[in-house]
Amino acid sequence: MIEMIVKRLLAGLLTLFILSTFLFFVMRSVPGDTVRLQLADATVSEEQVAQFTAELGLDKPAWRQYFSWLGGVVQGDLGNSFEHRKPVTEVLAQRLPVTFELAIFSIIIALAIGPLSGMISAIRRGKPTDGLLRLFSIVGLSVPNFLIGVLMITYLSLWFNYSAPFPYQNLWENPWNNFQQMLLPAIALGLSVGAATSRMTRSSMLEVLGADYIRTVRAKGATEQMINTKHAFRNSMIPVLTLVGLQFGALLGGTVILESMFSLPGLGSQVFESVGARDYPLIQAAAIVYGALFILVNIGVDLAYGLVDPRIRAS
Amino acid sequence: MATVTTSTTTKPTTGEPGSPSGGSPPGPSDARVSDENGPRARFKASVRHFIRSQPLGLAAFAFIVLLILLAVFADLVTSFDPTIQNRRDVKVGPNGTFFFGTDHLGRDVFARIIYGSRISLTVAGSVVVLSTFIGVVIGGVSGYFGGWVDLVLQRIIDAVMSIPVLVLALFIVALLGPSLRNLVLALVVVYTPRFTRIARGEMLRIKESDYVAAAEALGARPFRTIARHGVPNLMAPIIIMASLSFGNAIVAEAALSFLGLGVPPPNPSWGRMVADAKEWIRLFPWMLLAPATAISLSVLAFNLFGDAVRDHLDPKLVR
Amino acid sequence: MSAVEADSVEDQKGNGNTGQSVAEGEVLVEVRNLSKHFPIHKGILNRTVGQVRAVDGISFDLKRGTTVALVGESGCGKTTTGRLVLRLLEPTSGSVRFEGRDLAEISKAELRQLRQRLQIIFQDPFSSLDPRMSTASIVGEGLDIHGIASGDEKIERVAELLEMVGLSRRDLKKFPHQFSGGQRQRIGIARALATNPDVIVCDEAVSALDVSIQAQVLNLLKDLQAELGLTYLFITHDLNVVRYISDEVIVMYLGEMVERAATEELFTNPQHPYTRALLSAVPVVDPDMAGERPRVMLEGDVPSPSNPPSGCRFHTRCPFAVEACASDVPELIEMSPGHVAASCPAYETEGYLNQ
Repeated sequence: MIEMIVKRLLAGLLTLFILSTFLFFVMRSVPGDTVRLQLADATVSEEQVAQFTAELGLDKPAWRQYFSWLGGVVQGDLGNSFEHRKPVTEVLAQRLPVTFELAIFSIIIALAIGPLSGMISAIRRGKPTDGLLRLFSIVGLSVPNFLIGVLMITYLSLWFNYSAPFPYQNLWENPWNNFQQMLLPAIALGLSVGAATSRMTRSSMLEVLGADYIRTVRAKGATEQMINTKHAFRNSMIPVLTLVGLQFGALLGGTVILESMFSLPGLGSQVFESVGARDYPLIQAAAIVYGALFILVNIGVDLAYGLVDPRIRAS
Repeated sequence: MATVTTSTTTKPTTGEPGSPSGGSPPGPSDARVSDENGPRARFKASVRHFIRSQPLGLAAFAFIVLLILLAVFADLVTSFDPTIQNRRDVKVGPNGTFFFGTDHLGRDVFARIIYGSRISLTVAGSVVVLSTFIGVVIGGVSGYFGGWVDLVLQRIIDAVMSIPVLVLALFIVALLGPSLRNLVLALVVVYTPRFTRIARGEMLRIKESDYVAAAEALGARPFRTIARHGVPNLMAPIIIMASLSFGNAIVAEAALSFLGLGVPPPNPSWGRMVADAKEWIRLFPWMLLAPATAISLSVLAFNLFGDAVRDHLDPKLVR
Repeated sequence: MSAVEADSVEDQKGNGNTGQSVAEGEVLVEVRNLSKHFPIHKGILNRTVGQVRAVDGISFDLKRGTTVALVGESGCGKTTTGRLVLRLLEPTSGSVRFEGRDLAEISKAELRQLRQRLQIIFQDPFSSLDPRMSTASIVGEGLDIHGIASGDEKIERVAELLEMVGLSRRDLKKFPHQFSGGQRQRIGIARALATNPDVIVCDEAVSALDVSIQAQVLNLLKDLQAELGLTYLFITHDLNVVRYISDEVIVMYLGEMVERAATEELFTNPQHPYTRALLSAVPVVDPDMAGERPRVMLEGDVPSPSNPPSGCRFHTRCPFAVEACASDVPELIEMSPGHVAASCPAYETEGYLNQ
């Protein structure tokens, strides 16, 4: 087990390394002068441009920039954000918790509705409940998360004259406001993951319910309810776990739009800003953070397998 | 070295099902006449079975065909130019002339929806086709040859796939500037790894089979083996992935357009329309509803169709 | 094998399946000291922690028009040897010469050309044919690759081949899933014959078939050999099949050759303890005959080829093993003309050689 984790972490590290190298060179080879963007002033003089370029370290050849950046990373310094004139790590530290909270909230919503509805759907297979739930899940899967967000904002405002409290406040400052601010985007994000989870739970459970060992348990006299919850459900959760791991990536992607839409100062909205402003160090760091999160979540999922499936624990 | 001659020492087998005994039918042309079991006939039978067993998928397919027709014959369906601004009729509700009303710049929403389908379908179509092709080629070749190239490729694919779809696409389009070409390019970069992974995985399995060893023993060059034995045998999961990717591609295009990184205005894109509508939503809900419904229905149709294709091709699924 | 059949076969091949030495045919394939070791990888960095010594120092000749059988238990390296002879695998050491030319020294292009003359038939009728190709395409692939025939001429050749193996023209357009196992093997045979090979490696070609079908396919192979002058390297674990079809037998154990002799000689005069054990385990139809054989029982499981026993590899299971067996590596000695066996202290045992 430990060996597997170590192996995965090393592989993940390599992946992140390749990723950041790729991004680094791609960004620097594309037109769109970041300097002028930063200065945002067409009348700026050549000397000022040159000076600023030197300040940002952009005058050195790409290779040298790369190695100095790499050297910095190893020491924990990810460079300074062009836009904010602050160390990248500072910006990340500010923004990451917000995205984190949103992501967790969304997963909670997804896991609250998904597996449950999938299980009910499987148990009442063929009946109207099943049909209805399946309809909901495929619709939930099809409507893009940003659209759900827009629709929520629109109609809540239109029908109930409601909009979430404005300046963002985090969980400690004002839990109720924070909850309101997070709820809508979390629903928007959680809905599609929930829908996917519901479908996966349903088909997985149907497969398990048809399996031989369930027949054995039934023959031993277990009640239907016990079968459904205890045996079938637990065993069908494995592919669902994988799915959540994979969907996490889509969820993180969704945070970009949804945070911007709901004015949440998270990493997603920051990415959007930074891309527009050609803030290389920040973009790079953000991409690495996303990649790292995704890899860690998937390793976590594999670990969770070990909890759910004793066969894997043994190996 | 002995030559092949028509043999008379071996009698035709009897008692084994499937092979008729004896007789010597005349001429080689005779062999080509009955094609009852060729690939074309099998495809037709497959389609017939699909029609019978997947009603929802069929309905979805019908919708998709409708969508394609609307896109192709857009100018026949509506006489309005979706890009012309009409200051007089700004923000008019749905009525006889403007089926879905007009937007904040006086453009006919209905026309924009119809023409918008062109963007969505073109982007989704080219992205899926290109990604599939490139993914199969790269994955198939890499999986067959293995070695360093394969290892490196695997790492690169892992790297690309660890970034969320939208973030990567956003990144590429923002860097290169919004245009149809860059949009397609960005999405191809995002979606190709999925296909590469599937193709590679299947190729690894296929590579070990005896019929590939037989081809090698016959002296086939690697590329011939990959093309004639590898690719046809890996297409099933690829087709499933492709049909499921259409819906995703439409969503991705809409999302990027929503963010302002899709095709530049005044081209009508559904995602862009949603963004515009968001500003004016208080008073003019139809501006939002039209594109929202268009996007949702299209994605729904593609998802249902993709599901149906998967159920059809994958006999192991429990329904 | 009935007397009638034995006669006709003898006439056509010019040698007897009767225990005399194999006839002086032209040597087509020479295998010398062939070895294949597969590295074992473990750990994060994929370090090589050991070697699977699948084949270790095998030498034999294949003479034109004859059948040499390669027998042994699973894992003894016979399939690997077959692939090495066809150069589908690169040997770790040793050489394979075809018509005097070392296959390691010719160019890739030449090797590709040569493949027309060295073909293979696989064991599993269900995975050896590409499920997506028609029979015509499968059998005709060799013709395509080497440009031997195309268009109508190709179809005609393929039809002839199908008829030669007992199928019909009407099977040209069919797909593998429409045939039974035995028929699919026939298709595999037709495919192998398409390029007019000299040598065919039959890798457990009948092992996956029902016994009644086995007989049919074996007869087909024999007839084809007689008619086309084919040379077979027949890999199998079934000794009954060996007795029926081969002229010479090579017994392998854990990658090494343990005994080699003409077929009847081997069956009537097995020398090596392992050979005797194998033969005594073969089910025999006639219960009277069963009682006459010396019964040799083996103990234990086959050791792993990644860690073969020292000295004589067989000593861990050999009922005649003595202390020296763990250290002395046996050499091949000629027991009688054409009959070679690994040296063994058992030979010195009183009365052993005469059983």
